[in-house]
Amino acid sequence: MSFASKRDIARESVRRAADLGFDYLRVKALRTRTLGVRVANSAICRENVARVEDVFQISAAWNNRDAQLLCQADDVFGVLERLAAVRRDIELQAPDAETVLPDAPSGSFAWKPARAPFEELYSCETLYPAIAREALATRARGLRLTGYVEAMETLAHAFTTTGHDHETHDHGITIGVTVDDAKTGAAGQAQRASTHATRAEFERLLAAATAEATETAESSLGPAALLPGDYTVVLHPSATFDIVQTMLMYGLFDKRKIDEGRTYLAGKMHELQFPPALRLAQSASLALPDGGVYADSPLNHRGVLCESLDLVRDGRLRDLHTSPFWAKTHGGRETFSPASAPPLSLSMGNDAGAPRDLSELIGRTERGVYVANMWYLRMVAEMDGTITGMTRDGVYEIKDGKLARPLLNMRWHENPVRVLQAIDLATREELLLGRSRLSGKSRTAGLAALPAVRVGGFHFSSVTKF
Amino acid sequence: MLQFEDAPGYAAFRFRDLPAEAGARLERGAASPELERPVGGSAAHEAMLVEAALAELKRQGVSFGDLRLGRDHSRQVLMQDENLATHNVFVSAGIGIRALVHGFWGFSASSELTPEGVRRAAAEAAAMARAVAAVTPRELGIEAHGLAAEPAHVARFDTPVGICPFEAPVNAIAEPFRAAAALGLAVPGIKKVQAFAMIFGRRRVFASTEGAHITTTHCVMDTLQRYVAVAKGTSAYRTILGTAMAGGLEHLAEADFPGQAADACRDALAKCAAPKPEPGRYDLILDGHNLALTMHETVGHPTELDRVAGYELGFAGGSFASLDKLGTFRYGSPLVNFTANNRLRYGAASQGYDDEGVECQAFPVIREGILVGYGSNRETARLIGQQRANGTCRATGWADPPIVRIPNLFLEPGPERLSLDDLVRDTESGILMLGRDSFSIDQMRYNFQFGADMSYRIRDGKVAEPLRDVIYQSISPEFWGACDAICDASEWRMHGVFNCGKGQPTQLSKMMHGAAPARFRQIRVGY
Repeated sequence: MSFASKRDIARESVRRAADLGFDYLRVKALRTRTLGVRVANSAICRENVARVEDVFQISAAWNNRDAQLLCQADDVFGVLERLAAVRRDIELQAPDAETVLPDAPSGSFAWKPARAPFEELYSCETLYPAIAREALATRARGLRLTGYVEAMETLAHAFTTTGHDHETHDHGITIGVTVDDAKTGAAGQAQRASTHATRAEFERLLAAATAEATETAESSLGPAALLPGDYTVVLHPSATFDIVQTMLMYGLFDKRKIDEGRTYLAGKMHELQFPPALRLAQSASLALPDGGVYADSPLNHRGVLCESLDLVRDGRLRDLHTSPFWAKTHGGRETFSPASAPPLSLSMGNDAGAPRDLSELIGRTERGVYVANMWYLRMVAEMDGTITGMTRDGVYEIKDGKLARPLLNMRWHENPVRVLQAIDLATREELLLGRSRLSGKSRTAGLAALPAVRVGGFHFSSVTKF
Repeated sequence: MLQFEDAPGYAAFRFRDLPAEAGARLERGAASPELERPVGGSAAHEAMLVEAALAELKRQGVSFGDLRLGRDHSRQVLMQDENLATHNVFVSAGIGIRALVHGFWGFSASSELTPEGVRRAAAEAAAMARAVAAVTPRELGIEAHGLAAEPAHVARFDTPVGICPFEAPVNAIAEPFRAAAALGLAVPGIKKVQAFAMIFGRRRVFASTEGAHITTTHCVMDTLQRYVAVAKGTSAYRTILGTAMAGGLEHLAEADFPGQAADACRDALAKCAAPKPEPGRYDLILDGHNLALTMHETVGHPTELDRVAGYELGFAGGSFASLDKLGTFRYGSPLVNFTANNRLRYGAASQGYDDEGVECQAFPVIREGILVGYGSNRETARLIGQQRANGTCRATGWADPPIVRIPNLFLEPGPERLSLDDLVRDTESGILMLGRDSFSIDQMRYNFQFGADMSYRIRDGKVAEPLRDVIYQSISPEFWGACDAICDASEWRMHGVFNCGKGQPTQLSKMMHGAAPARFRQIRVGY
């Protein structure tokens, strides 16, 4: 069945559901198409995946109760049958004092940045030869390539009983490459993403990621142990991304948690100072490293029009994530939720004196540690704001502005807010990154443009065996 | 007919307040009625889809092909204080088809459940495999060693469900949490009570070009309630983990959340006033809850054979437990015995047959501290000379390809009579750690850190003052090597892990771990 037919079912279901008496009803037709290419031991392997899934996402509210349903149906009657079941069940729920109906604007909205048909850009014919070429070239160097390339398309059209309809169509690609030496364990890892990759652009990004991972692997032989302690670190954009994403994941910028005294930032909103040029934002308009602009939808997952968030700007914490209930009862506006937020950006301004790229940033660092990737970041003590993680696939000692020697991977414990406060240099060059893993139905979850940064006093707590 | 096996120290539960009808259902091993419904509405339609897909795979000339036709159900109930904040119901059906051509895989999944739709998916899987073969040297495929043999089972397996969680009204799930939250919020200093129930069910028809045809239904549920205190200028929480097991809503009453509310609130408030421990080395006594996650990360993942073979280096990582260590590597002290068993009653990974159609089995992983086994699938089993895979290959959803997953894996109880009280009495100075909290481990599974939900200092063989934010760091084989006492089977408990992420695209799997409290000498605490 075509997506247009699914969309018509969603529209008609909302119209015919008037008899069910919901206070609010939203039915969204959603199609996700994934082409995932897995490589292990330098060959495309088992999770070589093509899949198409059609679902209807339904949100309904009645008398201070709400429910969400994800289901499949072949016609309007199928959806109405499900809606009738939701209506029966919702009456059995106790009222929820925190239910807030979405204040979604009426009228039609469309967000369709996809500039070419998905199948024209991404297919076995366009992806496999380039991936196999890189894998075999890596193998010829005596190394192994492992990785995952995922192209994903989402088509969605939502209709509500309040006269709001919202159509979206987007696709893009994420690339993750690991190169390792099976004999020594030396490894490198690199990521790239694109919101619109032609075949040539995909091949360029894949080659760049493979070259970066290969260079890291080949320069990581014979790592030395560094004594745990506090060091100046240079963080690759990928490493910075992981730290910032972890802050968001644990709700460090959640207004309710702060107001209720349940997190590190409670009571500190006005006292914390950051570098004046630092800007950490989640914006529907993302300036791309190649000079273009990626325009995300300005509507959040409930269809509510949301402003961009400047989490840190002009040396201060500014905007916070605010849930519908907290906005209604404590002032302010409903925002994007951290889980479905628009792209993330971190910058230190465009100071002409800033290092141009990563190698220049390392060149300006007399002593320190360069970290290419992070791994397994988790909260340790929420009221201290302490998180932990490991370095991964690329960690080196910096001496006199050069990568002096590879290091054994290390565990670190840090406060990510302090990390932001301690950034003293960032590159002008930024990298576009996307993490499709665990991103669910939305490709843009996890899209970010970030520079490499330098941070003083980063705490490494122990060393591992490789 | 596969029979369940009982875990150490466990017999089948006598569920409290169980209606007679539900008891009768459990007695006869009845499946969830919702999961019994055939995909597509009728058994004939379901069978027709299977036949259409298999016929297309054969027409495509694949050397091997299999399919998982199924329907996934989930129900999530999130509570904020006494409010039911979120009620999500997900139902999704489709088919995932795997084709092997010239030693290379293709996998295609579709929610279009018509004969044309499943034929198209089968043809696409075969075309993908051919496209890989066209750009890859033959020696990199799996043709040379092929797939480990497995009888072509024609079978049926159901997880017994007393009270179907997909048919029950939402209040039947929410009410125990609401009652517990009301008790908690009446305690001064308790500012928030959060809870969730996550229920997953699946119906699967597995069929292969070798002639296997297996129908399974499987149902698991996980519950948790957290009490957040704000007092003395800080905040702390205590989490009660409930029912991470296979079965139905009968587990919810068994978890007795209201009955645990008072203790949880007392602990959360105590943590607000508690100090952190001085960093240093301590003798640790870890309860089964805490050990469940530690064994998951330090034993479960390192012994997945696909990780060992390098398949997961791009994301989940590799393993220090390399093939050359099998049979000789000292993983832990001689007291340490780990067993995998996907036939355990209530085990979240006990689904009868795995998603390659391999019968679920029990097998040793560590014996007297020595590494002796890995979890394998039909592709990797041959790497270690196994003639048969051991039934640990699972696909989370119908749209996911099957990969090696951690089985139900447990630490065997100690052979000598030893209670937790005995163990504390035998420990002059140390820390008792209960429940799970922060967790992190490197990608080769050496360096880890784990936290606990509740910790107490042990002084002179007695449980003394509470501590907060206690984490321990170690290296996996050094940690298990420091184990010098394990309590007996009477203290052994089963705990589920329901958020095990692995694979690309990422899949979240579920399994059970079990342990009795154990002691580990001189482990580093703090950072």
